[in-house]
Amino acid sequence: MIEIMEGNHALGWGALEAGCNAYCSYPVTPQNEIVEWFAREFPPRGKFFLQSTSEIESSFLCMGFVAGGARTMTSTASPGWGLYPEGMSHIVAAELPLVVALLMRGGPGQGTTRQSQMDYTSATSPGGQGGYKNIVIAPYSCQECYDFVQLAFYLAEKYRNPVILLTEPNVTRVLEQMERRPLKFDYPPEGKWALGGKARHSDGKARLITSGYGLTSTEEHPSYLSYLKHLHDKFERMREEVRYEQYEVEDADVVLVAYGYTARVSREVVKQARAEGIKAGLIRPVTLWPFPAEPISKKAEEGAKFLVVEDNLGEIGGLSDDVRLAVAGRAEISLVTALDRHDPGEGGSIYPGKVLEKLKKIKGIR
Amino acid sequence: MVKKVVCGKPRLWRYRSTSLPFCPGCQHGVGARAVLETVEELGIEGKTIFLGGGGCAYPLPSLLDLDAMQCPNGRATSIGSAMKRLHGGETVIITYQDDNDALAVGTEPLIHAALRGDAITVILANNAGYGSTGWQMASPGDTPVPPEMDKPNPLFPINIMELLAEFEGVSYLARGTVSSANDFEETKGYIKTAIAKQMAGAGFNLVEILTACPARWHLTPQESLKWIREEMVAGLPLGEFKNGGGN
Amino acid sequence: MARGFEAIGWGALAADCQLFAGCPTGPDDEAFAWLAREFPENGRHFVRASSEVSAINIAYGGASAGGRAMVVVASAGWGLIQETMSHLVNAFLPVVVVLIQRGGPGAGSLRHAQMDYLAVTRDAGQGCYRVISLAPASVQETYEATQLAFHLADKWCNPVIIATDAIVAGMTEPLALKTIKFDPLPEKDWAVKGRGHQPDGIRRFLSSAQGFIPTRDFPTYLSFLKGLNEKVLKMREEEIRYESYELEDAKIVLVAYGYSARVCQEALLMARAEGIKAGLVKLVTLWPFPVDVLKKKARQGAKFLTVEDGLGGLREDVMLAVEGQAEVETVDALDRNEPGAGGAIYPGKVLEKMKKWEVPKVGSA
Repeated sequence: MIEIMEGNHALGWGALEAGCNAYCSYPVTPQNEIVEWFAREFPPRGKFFLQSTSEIESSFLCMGFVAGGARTMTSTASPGWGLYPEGMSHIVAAELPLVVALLMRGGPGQGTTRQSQMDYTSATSPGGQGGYKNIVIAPYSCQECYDFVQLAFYLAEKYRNPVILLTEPNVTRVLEQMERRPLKFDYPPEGKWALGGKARHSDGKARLITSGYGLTSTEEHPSYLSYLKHLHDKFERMREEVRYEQYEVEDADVVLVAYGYTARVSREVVKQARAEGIKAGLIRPVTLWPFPAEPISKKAEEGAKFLVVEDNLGEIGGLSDDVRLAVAGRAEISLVTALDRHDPGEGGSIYPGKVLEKLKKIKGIR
Repeated sequence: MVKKVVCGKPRLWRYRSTSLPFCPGCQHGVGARAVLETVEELGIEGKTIFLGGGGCAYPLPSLLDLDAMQCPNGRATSIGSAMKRLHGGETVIITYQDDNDALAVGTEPLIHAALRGDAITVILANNAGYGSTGWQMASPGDTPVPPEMDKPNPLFPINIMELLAEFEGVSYLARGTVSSANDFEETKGYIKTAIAKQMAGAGFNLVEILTACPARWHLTPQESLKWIREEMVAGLPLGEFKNGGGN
Repeated sequence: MARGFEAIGWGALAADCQLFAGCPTGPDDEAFAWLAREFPENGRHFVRASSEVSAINIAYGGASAGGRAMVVVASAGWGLIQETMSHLVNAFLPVVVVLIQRGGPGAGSLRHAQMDYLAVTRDAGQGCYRVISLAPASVQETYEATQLAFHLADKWCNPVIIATDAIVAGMTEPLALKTIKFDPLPEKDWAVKGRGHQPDGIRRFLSSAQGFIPTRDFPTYLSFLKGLNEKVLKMREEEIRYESYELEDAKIVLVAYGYSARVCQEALLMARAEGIKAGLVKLVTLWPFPVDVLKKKARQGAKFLTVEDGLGGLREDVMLAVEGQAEVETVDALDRNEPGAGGAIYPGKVLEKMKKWEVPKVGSA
């Protein structure tokens, strides 16, 4: 059955479908619609909704929910995201799952209240202590919000590591057609780590959860080095979860790389370009980490040129860094960045016209 | 006849060696013992979750035969609030946090757990200082040796009882010491009442235990106990501060 | 003789730091002890905050008032300051942040590590930005880096990070106290101090929502983005600092910083003694990264061995610099000499990895 809804709500319905039973966050524009959805839909269904007093608190309250055995989700936006790294680092260290929806707005600092794609790096190259990795998934439509939040819960539990859904209000605030179809995942057998009082456990044994494996020796991780090796191996295995989409890439000699709303824009540009006889294509990363280096590397080898389209400061970093790593010096990379927005105000966005203009420049077409 | 433990290690300690990772004269072991004996006597070890905080008491959760968690500094209250919602009356959530944890980094979580009336039991082991980071003075102030570290910042003591007693969601507040057998029994009584409140779903409760830190105070263990009795108690009086209220 | 912890304090005094705010976490508490004693005695402000979040915001206040402000954090607690770092960047304010790295993630360990490279060299908080970071490898360097940090922070109106580790901060070495004279910088005309105290009587307004809220310098968000972008690109071009050892004919280039760089200096001697043509690029700034010197060696056919007590941060920057032109191998935390928290990377291990590569010896082509 086709419905019309906004991505914010699709995240909620998808979470419900995935068996999420605890949600905690702190309101901040533009994620408030998500908070409101959970506040409205969770309590009547007997699921836990808690509005916290700050984002730092959100991350640790979520840690408590997860440690107690709940399938937990939180959401935030850029200014609140800056308060999450400490909590994220501890949750990673304790090997706990969590789904985090991060809505990007203009930054840094208080920034703007409208969309951006400026948290690419702090999501894919996490800012908390210890040098860890999280899987980052970037939906670009309402349907993908619904589908990928379900995938996120599964991956979070599969790897016992937080998974980030990275998006922005151009994707989540827009009303679109979608279908609420449940996705089936092969969840791992219920983990034997949740706390609930030792009498609840089938073996009656007490359990310990800690984020300080360099301070505490456990049966599972007898030494800090054994723990680091375990984490390292886990992060390497997570690389198998790479996902991406290719659009008209086969014979393309210029390849756009984009995710989220700029991928929607780029699809439009590819269509227009093709209509004008330009062999353009789009590689759309669906997971930003692990990054789909392979298809990009392949096209670089074939001699294609690249146009990275991201509402970010591409000359400083972001998606452009990962594309450069993948290209490894074999091809030209051009950028469409936040400096190419159509309007100087906070509502400025990247429009197809600008992207097409740069595309033509690459091809030497006036 | 009620059997009472008068000596010996609580059954719930599971460390192998005879010694604890605490300084001589430190009372974290005694404070934890008060909690463990109460848990044993109430027969609730199967449903208790012990959440330890940061600082010197960090190793505690790994030494006990209870479902336990080593929480980041200041956050045991938040983690407990969340777990309590999940498990409700099926579990007893006890946190063990020192003053650095609960009254500094952790004030936001503490105050809001109390405001929400979350039915958890917070054991606040107040040893007037930050032990494991080199003995800085902590917010509760008032120490026997004015530490050179905080001379520029005279800290006024915080009486958490006065602050929390106002909150509707708080059902029980008490402060005790573990400086003598009598004090120990009295404090155990407070802990028992607090846990009973939790089990009755009666809101947030907290028992503050004034504990010694001879290493940091530059006193002998006996002098430390004397100092608690004579100086600390003068600023942080003992007894029950609230008994009633909560959800 | 002084410890690295003390050198931070001496450097801050030399740089006229007026305000220190912090909340101790192992292993940075020794820095606190020194600062708590010496700062007030030297007429500076010492504020013991209730948490790192609180500390960085107190420093934010000090910076806004036009003063030189500093915080010290350890890896556990580093995560708590990122929101405010992002605000400082937007507001164009200078603060010096000393990070003493310890094992992670989470509560990790209380001992040394070099696991925060990516968090330090990229934007750890919201938005896209970069912050200059310095990595001292000795007590003297710590003293000098601290002074440089204050200068660079004021020069660029941006936070600066000193990323040291528990080994460099904990070691005791000779320290020569000498105040560095830097180029003069313009007055902090933008500082907030009460309209009546402003020389021109006009009120000053600081915001970390620059552009969204029009300010004197940035009337629109796009103009702010352009300004920030330009500033970052300029810092990246002008503030690269590194040291190179035996690089000229090197076929293997070690890349390291902090205590690992000291280890590599030893490994370099050992390698050369065995006839291996090794060299070392020791990072002084982690960001900006010395891309060109590595690119040049890559084109000459050199191989790279990154040595870092972490899980692969430095390696990413080396890969970005060589752009597929060279082999890159790693010595990382998994190569520590012993499994406990005190395990470290030893020169022998670095030499062992160098030998695994077939590299022409001295005297051959």
